[in-house]
Amino acid sequence: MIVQTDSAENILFANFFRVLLFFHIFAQTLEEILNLTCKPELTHYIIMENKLNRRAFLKGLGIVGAGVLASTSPWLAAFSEVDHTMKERCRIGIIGPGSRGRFLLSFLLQNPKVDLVAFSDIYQPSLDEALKMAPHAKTYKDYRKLLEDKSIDAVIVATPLNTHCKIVLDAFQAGKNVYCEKTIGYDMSQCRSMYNTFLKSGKIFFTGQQRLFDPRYIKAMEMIHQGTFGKVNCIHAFWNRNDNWRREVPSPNLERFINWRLYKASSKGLMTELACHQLQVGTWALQKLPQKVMGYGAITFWKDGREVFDNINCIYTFDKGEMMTWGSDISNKFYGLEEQIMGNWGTVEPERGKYFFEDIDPAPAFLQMINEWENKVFGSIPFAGTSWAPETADENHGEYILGKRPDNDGTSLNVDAFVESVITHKQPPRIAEEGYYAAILCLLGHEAITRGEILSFPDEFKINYSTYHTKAPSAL
Amino acid sequence: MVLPHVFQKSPSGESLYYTWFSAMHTRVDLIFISREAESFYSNLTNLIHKRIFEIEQIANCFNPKTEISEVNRSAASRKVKITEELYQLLQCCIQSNFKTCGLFDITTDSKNFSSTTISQVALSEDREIFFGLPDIYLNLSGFLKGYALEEIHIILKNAGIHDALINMGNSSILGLGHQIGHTGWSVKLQNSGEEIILENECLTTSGNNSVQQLHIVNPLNGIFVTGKRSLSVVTTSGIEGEVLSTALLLANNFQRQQMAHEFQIKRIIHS
Ligand SMILES: NC(=O)c1ccc[n+]([C@@H]2O[C@H](COP(=O)([O-])OP(=O)(O)OC[C@H]3O[C@@H](n4cnc5c(N)ncnc54)[C@H](O)[C@@H]3O)[C@@H](O)[C@H]2O)c1
Repeated sequence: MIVQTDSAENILFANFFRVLLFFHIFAQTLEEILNLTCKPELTHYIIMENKLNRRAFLKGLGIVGAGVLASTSPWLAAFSEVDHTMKERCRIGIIGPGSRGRFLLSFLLQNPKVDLVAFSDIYQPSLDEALKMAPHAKTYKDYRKLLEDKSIDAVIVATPLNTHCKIVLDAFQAGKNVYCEKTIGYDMSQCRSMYNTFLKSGKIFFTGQQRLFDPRYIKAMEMIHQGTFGKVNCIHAFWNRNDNWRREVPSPNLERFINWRLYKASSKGLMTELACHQLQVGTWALQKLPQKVMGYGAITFWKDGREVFDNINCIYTFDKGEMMTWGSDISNKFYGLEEQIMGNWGTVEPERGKYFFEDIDPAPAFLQMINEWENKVFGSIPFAGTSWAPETADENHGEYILGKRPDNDGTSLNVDAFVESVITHKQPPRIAEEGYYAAILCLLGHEAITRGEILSFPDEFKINYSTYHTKAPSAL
Repeated sequence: MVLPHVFQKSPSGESLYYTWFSAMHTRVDLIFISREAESFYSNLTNLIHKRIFEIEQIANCFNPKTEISEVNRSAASRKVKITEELYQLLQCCIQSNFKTCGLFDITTDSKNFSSTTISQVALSEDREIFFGLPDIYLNLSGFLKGYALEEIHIILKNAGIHDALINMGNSSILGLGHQIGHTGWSVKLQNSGEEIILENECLTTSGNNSVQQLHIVNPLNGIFVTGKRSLSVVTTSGIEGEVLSTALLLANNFQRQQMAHEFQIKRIIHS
């Protein structure tokens, strides 16, 4: 639920930032901010042992005002009641505590509002590893038994792609709230039935699209939506690696089970494992869905029996001719991973955490002043001095989106937001929809590649998601 | 043409527009606060951009195609007819030379420069200019930003914009009206951290931003200002700010007192 009034919104986002702090996301930045800017006359918030003024914290993050946040990243409303839920508990079970499941577990264990009740996995070594982290949890071989446990409020589903749908549908059926890792479904129909079941269930549904909670992305999107980089016409997203993407297999009969990513029956390879994240960034930036998709994929280097492509390029086109490309080649890592969001005035690279202007950069001091205006706090900005000349500026190294690169990629906040939502029984705006469309887009790309056709976005997979047509939070 | 900008509107209807572009060999930053729509500010910015471009076309001595360059090339060999605008600018510069006891001087880049070189620049009433010596070179760079600030001020007044901050390369800043919730515009000096409130006033700074820099010469003795030091001055006029920031940096006590009589100086800050 998004609260409409200005002051309530401020409180809402103040809470969000408190949560950031609470979970020590910006431990280093925080220390600096606390040292530099805490003034006794300003409102203080008490978070664990620390006192922090919101103004300083906002300033430190460089996050613009609450209004913009509410339209750019409305799911942050998940944190709106974080104070009142201090004494509440969320009882969680993890289905599939493999590598990702245990990564999520590491954050859940740091959250004092979480009781980790049980694990379910069909592979004993995964259960053993998970028990090392949470020795008191119950274990089940069959996830249905875990779902029968009435004390469990919510489940995290972190099993291989082809198993998500059945488990998630069963979980909703059992009355559980669900956090499903991306990509949510193995095909578009599965995604649709998962989404529809969620709607009918009245439960909470989150997906593992952690960039939605990554401060660099949140801030970058704010700037993009404010028009800071002009009109965005093109996005180049890519994820390159130079490795075979294989896991060690203890016995050959486990090959397809352990390396499920490499086989058609269990995965759609790079599209579902990597593209899913970055395509969502593209639609977040453009605030609309593509109309058409084309692509090509091949196995060009890792001819080791795998069935999924190791080399892919797709183009997604939008109504006004804008384009988003997505590519991955896993035989060369030089250009790594990035989403290059290109406006006629500048480029943002959120993964690297930087933005670049085409000609002359705006003055950082002035951008700061604008943030302060939005937050209704004013300080004096140091910029006056002897004349600034272009040759004294370096070549275009760009500016950092946030002063320092946060070491968190949003995953812990995504998990914490889920916990908050389960406790408050409030599904945050747009969060399930972002996960749904991320899945549909990567699956559609995969289909365009395998069919060798230009595909239009199928009407039957459009959901009632009016937020892409308006930026106003009131429409949510 | 729409220049890069950031536009924001508050729930109470106030709008803020920030735009930046390069001109006069530096970056120009403009912030407007009013209740107008984005397109209004974009048009206003275009007007300002155009006006600054016009000023550069007249008075930028580094561009060979400008009027001042033609004067520098030809006025030693023939009388050159100049536009009213350049005429006014040059007259103002020559007067400023008197008012600053010779410390503000637009001829210091001339070959064989001396403190009397400027006296060889003859302006006639019918807008002709003639140099009484060869190789006189007029450089208005230390003056133009302040002039541009005044011209921008006029455009803003006509457009009904009362609250604005105009920054010409950090060294010439005009604060008009108020930052919302404030009295005036609060600006800090980079070097000293000193806070200055500008309320329909200009803050102009001259000096060296590094020890290596040698670019301000005393016209009276030919000695360059050395060391990392600067002087800022608060004035109501942008032009006077330019003249004074340089002249006061060079001035001795007596000259400073003279200037205090001639100009309305609101504040002087050494850093
Ligand atoms: N959001 C992200 O950035 C991110 C990163 C990595 C993985 N993931 C996603 O997480 C999911 C898991 O990936 P992973 O790398 O952890 O794989 P993994 O193979 O390491 O773990 C999967 C676990 O699920 C178990 N499992 C399989 N079928 C099961 C079933 N029917 N019931 C219970 N357990 C079952 C396996 O035994 C294993 O322990 C995938 O959907 C993947 O796309 C997301």
